[in-house]
Amino acid sequence: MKSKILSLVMGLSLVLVCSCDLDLLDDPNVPTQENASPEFLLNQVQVQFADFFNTTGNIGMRLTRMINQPSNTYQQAWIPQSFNEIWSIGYVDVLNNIALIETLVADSEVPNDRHLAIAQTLKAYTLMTLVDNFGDVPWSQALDNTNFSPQADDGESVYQAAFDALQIARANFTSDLPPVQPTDLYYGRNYDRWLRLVNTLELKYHLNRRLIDPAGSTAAINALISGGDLMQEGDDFYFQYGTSLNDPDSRHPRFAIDYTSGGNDYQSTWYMWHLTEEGFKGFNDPRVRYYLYRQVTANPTDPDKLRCISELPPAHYLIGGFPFCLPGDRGYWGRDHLNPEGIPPDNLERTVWGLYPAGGRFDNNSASPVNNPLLGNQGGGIQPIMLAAFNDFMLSEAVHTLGTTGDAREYLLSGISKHMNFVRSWSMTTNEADVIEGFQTPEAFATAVTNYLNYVGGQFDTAAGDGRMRVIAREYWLSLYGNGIEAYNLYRRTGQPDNMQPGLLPQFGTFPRSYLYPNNYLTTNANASQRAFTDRVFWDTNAADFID
Amino acid sequence: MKGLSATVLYGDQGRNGVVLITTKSGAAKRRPSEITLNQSYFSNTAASLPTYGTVYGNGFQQQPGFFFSNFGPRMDQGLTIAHPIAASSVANIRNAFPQFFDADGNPVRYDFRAYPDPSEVFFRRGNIHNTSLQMSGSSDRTGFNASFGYTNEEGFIPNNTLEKFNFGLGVSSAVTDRMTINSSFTYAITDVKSPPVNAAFGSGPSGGIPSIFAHVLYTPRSVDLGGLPYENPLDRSSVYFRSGNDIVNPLWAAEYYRNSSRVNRFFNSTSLNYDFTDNFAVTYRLGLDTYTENQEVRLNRGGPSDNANVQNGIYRSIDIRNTIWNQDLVFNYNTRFSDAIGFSALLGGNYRYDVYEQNGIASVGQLTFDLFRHTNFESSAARDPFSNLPLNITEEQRRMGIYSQLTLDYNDYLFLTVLGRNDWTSTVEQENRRILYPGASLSFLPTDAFDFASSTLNSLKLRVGYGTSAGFPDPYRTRTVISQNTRGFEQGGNLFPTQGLGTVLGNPDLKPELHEEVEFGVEAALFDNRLRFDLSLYQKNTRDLITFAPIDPSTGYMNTALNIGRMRNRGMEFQATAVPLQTATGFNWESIVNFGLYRPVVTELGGGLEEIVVAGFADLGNFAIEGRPFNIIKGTGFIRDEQSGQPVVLPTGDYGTASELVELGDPNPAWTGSWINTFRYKGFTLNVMMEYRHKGVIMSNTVTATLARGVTKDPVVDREMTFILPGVKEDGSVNDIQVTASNYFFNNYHSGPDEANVFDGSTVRLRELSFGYDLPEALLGRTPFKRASVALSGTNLWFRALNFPPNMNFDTDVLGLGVGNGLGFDFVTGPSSRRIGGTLTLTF
Repeated sequence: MKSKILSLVMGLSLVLVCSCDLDLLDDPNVPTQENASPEFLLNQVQVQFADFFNTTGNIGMRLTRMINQPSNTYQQAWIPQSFNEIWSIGYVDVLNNIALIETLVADSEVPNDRHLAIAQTLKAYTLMTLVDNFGDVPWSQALDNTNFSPQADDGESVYQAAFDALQIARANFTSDLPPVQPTDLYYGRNYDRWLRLVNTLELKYHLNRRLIDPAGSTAAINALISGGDLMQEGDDFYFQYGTSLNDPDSRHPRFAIDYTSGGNDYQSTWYMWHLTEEGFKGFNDPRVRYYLYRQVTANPTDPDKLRCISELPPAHYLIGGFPFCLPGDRGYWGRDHLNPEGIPPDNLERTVWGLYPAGGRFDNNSASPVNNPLLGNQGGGIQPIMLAAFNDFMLSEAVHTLGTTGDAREYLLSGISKHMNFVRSWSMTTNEADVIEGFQTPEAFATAVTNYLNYVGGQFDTAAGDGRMRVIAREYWLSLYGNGIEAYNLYRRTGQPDNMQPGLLPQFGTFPRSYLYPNNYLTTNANASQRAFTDRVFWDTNAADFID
Repeated sequence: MKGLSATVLYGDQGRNGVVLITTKSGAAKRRPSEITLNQSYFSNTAASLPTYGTVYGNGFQQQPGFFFSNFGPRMDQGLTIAHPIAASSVANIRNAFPQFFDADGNPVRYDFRAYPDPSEVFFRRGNIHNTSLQMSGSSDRTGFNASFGYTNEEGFIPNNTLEKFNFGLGVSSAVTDRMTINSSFTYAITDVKSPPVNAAFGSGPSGGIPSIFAHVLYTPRSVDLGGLPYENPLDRSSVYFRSGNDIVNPLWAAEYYRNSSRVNRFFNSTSLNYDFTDNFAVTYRLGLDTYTENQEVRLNRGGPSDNANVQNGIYRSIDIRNTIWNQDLVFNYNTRFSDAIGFSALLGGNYRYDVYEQNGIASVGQLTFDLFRHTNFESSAARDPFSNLPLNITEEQRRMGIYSQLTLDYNDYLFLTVLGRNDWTSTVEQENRRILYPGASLSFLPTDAFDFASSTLNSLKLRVGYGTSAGFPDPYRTRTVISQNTRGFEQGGNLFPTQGLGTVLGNPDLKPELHEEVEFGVEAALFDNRLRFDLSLYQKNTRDLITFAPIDPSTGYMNTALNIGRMRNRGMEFQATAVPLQTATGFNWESIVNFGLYRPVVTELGGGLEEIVVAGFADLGNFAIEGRPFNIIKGTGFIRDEQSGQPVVLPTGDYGTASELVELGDPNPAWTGSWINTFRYKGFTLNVMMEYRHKGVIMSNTVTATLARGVTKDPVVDREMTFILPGVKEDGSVNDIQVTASNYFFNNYHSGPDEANVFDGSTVRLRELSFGYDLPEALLGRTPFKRASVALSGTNLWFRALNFPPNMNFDTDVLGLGVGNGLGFDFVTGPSSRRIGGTLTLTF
């Protein structure tokens, strides 16, 4: 009996003679939260912010006919799943990491003012964009590990939170320069530029609110103008991509799409018609060769290649006098609005993104296929988030609609010229500089710009009332190539440029005045309920159906 | 062993059933040695390729053109087109093939006719050889068993091979009168090579990552896959019919894209048993299962893809080492309390340790063609170029458990077993680490108890059991981590490291999940044992199901592991074996019927969730929805008229896609059954196995890739006519808008909603047919052989998916989402296999 018990004890102890450590809970492959650093977190925020801008603007560009819009109707084109990425990049990649930066900076003994300032600026823009697109979004209850169903806050209060973030940013940009400064992928540690950006973002804030609070907006915008510290030429806020193909892939996403195996997206026939001599202007926009690259310089003639060249335009296109199928006959190859067709093998013939802003090729009539990632600026393009030119366009609109100080015509023309000069000067910093210079000397470019300004100025003078707003908005829209966020806001706020190319069907659905809530929010959040396309964001008091 | 009441002792590893493999260790009695040799050969062919059409060729809307689709003109009109290679937009290709230009520099004419289809040109017959040798023998105290095996398999696509060596040795020895030792070792080397396979949706592989099946299935009928050159002689890149050369030629891909895996696996199980007395014994068992694997992805440069890295060549090599240690110490006691009552008890402890280590490098930018060394590539990194996930990872987990079982039997007709196990695991935080799961079962043989066994009812056994088991989460789910990338971004030639909060929220309150099952079973033998059946009914409830659930991104995270939800699965399984005919001359017909059905339902999700994607994508996948069958498929559906429920046809003549996802069907079969008949006569054996599966939907992208592209024999008739889709127009009136054949099939099967590609998966199948002969002893008496037999057999010989379009020949056995919870999807998974061949067995 004794031996039995002894054996039992020995046996059990054998089981226990093992490495009984059951605390294998920390993932050995990645750093733990104690190792987080505001420096590297801010790098991630800056890169993801550009991604957020790109993903959100993608939809806005299609809705405003800047690039093609596929599918039959708006309802079919944009389903809740389409908006998943905007929501997840915005909250998970940008805002949650900014919240961690705020916590770390608050707990840290070392001052990190500039880190915080940059983070707050980007947070403000992100919040404003989420509201501009979704209306009411979670904010006060968001980013809380214990609450899996945050309630959506009223859009106006989230806008206010964005404004407050800008104030914190301003305070942290003007405080004493700390010894440790952040990596600045936008302005290279030039904090005066950041301050002017903050002011221009306040201008954007007030301009968006002008329909619901004209008096307040007028006063605030006048104060900004008299403060004299808005963005000037050279203060352009854009994200510059690199050319690395792999580990990391740092190229402009639009370049990666079009220049790998040829065009993978279509340009918009309507937009290209405006940029080329086929449009009502009769001459090329000086920027068209920077914006777009034609892989062929003559239109296809074989209906097997492009069926619509042998088709009649739909009745409502004929009545409205809209261009159909192709904008002209010099090889600008894109698609009409709301075209649902499949993809024929024209990836090496359709028009693709050019040098600005995607970092591709400058169009010097070379007309060759782009299935090569070493072409052009190899993807070192930009996201034009807030350019100095946009500042002037916004002021021109403010003068025209609110009567703030200044001259609408002057701001309009200065906006156009600032943008054209920016396109040229940035392009001259790229690999394509020699090609550009060889094709068009600086003097020739300046002449083209002057002619353009004279024409637009003349148009502005002969127009009146809404007609002037149409000219301002059209020129702003033409400068916004690559920026779908401001274009979508502009179109909803002003209704201009109006009379846009309709969809191919006679009834092509109601224009989305805001986005649907995304699928990953609706199915997981108990307090979420879907909205409709016709719901308007808080600052949009324009009538239903006033734009299509 | 399926029921939880049987597998409780195996812990959480046994919750999905246990297959008990007893490797031969040899007997403990003296037996002469015996050697058995098995040699088999089978042919391996693709069983589920569509029947290709022969009337219409490449193009769209009845016009020729180098599309992906096959809706062009008829191929019997003597039409000629410009040679596709000479008409390429890519100068590099035009310049490499001067033979396709005539004297004036124009492309030569190319016959627009029906060329041999992929089933003849691309898919082939592979050969499968298997040789195995087993030896066993024993002396008074020691027995041994050794086995050697060699397998060489070729797949039905080019360059797909598997080669395997395995060697095993088992020893069983009575070291002393009280102590025995059993040990078996197995060593296996497996070498698999294959062209890559990846998901595809009908327009090419997902994400530009190559898949050998993605394009080949819809090769246009007027493209001579077998006759056109596939390799550019100048730079060895892929050449194919598309003017933009944006599809990789399948023959080129089969030759120059390769995935390989080499596994060396060693497995040992050793147990020492010591008998203290006749009633009391202790066993110590040690198991070691370790393997090293070398996985490689070799993609030569020059294959077109949406992914620039694939175009430039990729070489990824990963080395893995995985080790599992398992120890058990078990005490056994058995006794009889009286003549009638017997008792046995078992108390054991288990310790298990799993460790997985992986190291890898991925390089991109190949310099010299077909040389796969990392030094031949421009840049290397420890990250996968496709997913950007790191290749250097380790994972370890530990389990400890104590278990016990008590069995009482009364007069050999009433048995009661009570068992339980208590586990501790390392994958949850300390507060939740422990879980206890018991079980009990009772079986009763009325025929023995009440002694009414007769020739009609030979034996009857009733059993009822209750069992529980646990499931543990994967490691490292309880704490949020920081994800870091030292090469996060490059700007102006400078690199910037990035850090971000991980997108998975750690859940410190995560606990193990608990499975409970109640089972009732009846086994009986009737009519002189000519009819035996076994029926079991079960209900299994799972509580605190561990779900990797998506959460609202506005919380700052994408996913977390949660304990939520309850699931209930009720089912029945029935098997009957009958011998309808048995004659004195030795003819015997045995018939076995199997029938099974199960109904899984999500009874509760909790946590504010309405639905969770279990497998697949956010807009097409298997979902868990409260009150609905588990794994129900949701995806995009037709816009339907509110009053009539008919699909709505838009003014373009096509169906519209609704903005909300709809339920597309239940992929769980309603029931499955098989019927096996074995006929024996004087050494001959004929065996036929038929199967039937009833319902269970499948969403098939193979249909999207072939039928929608017009290459199969189905959409052939009257393509020159117009078609009208069934349904109603937007105003509710019956649809009368005419569309072309191209629009009818392509727009609605391919670009339309997923609902069009969902079919009922009911299938009839002839699973196996075999015919064998055992040579009679009389004949063998004069040979050195003790036994000899030869058999011919074929598997997967014939099947018909009853509700699929007829010329698809679709095999509903596909598992597009791999092994896991996903069910009912085919993302151009590739055809299934048919094997026909024979086996020779000789025993010396």
